[in-house]
Amino acid sequence: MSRRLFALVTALYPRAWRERYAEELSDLCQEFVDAGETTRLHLALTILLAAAVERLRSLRSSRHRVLLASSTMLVVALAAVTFATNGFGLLVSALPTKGPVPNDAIVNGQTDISKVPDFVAAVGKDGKIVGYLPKADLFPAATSGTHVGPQTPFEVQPVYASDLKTLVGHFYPGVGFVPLDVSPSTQSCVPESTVANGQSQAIPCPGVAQTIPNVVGMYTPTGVAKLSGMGLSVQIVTLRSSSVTPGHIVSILPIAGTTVAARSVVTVDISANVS
Amino acid sequence: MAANEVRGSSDRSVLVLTSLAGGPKHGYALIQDVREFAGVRLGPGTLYGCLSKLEAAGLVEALPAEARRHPYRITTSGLEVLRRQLSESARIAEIGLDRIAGAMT
Repeated sequence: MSRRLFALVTALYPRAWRERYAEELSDLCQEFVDAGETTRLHLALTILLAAAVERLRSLRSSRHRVLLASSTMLVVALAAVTFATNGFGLLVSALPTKGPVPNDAIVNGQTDISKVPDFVAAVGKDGKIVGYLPKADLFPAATSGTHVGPQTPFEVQPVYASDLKTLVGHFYPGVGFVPLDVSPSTQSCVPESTVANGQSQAIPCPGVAQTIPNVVGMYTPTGVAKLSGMGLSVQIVTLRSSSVTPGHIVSILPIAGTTVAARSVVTVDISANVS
Repeated sequence: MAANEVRGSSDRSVLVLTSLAGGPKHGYALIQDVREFAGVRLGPGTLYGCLSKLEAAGLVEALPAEARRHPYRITTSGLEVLRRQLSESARIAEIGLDRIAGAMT
């Protein structure tokens, strides 16, 4: 809440109360907003109400209490109308939600997107929250209310601080949270493996370099399986190609022969029917 | 004000005193603590309404600020008032539960 708005809202408090507590209340409100506990609108209204209660309490000994009480309630009513009509532009400033994915959002391995907060808490190796990942990044293809299967971040995801604006690091597949200015290759790697031809194959950690194989021209499932089998994260883009048979790989980025860190993201362009 | 006003100001003051009985806390920690042990969500305005009353009654006192946080602690009088209030609540709860048990048999 801005200082100006806060001063406006707290003007209703008795002067003595304001002089003693306004600064503390302002600091607490700021902490509340920073933590995403409430919206500015809700905060402003509750403080307005609390101020009115405090004002009425201070009028108990006043000779003009009926007049003053009426005036107070009138000011509160006018202020409430101002807020309700978005007079301060607050109605559009609702803060995004943040926190862990609630237990009831996952039923039988399916995630109810509508119950997932806008920013999902990222937990570090010590079990503490290290920051927040945008829901839009975690569930890019899902719309609100859509049920999707278990979601694993295939790509490197940005992680933001409690204010949801300051970038504090990234979430790496197989590694977890890595703060800014720290290389993911220095972090301990979570063991992962794939199964090919009935045999389990360990996926190397990001500290290991891998060479992108040439899968251009391959049938898509075959090429993708080859890349995925190496532990690379494959992102598919569909193109219309007149030269490559539909369902086959047109190109790959980084190009074949490039050395990348294990578990990197590889973009594969595949051919679709030309209509 | 003492005990009567604590009782008259609903449970909020009791919740704040109960939280502070566990040790000094600043506003945000106090709100979190009350939410955890009582499931009651206090807003900043409500909290400071309680704190101002309790401080005026000498039941809590402010401690030096730490950065931009302002801790409070319960006073000896506050502990005594809280003890009396909770004892009375417990006594009433016991009577009520006994009567419920009697009505159900």
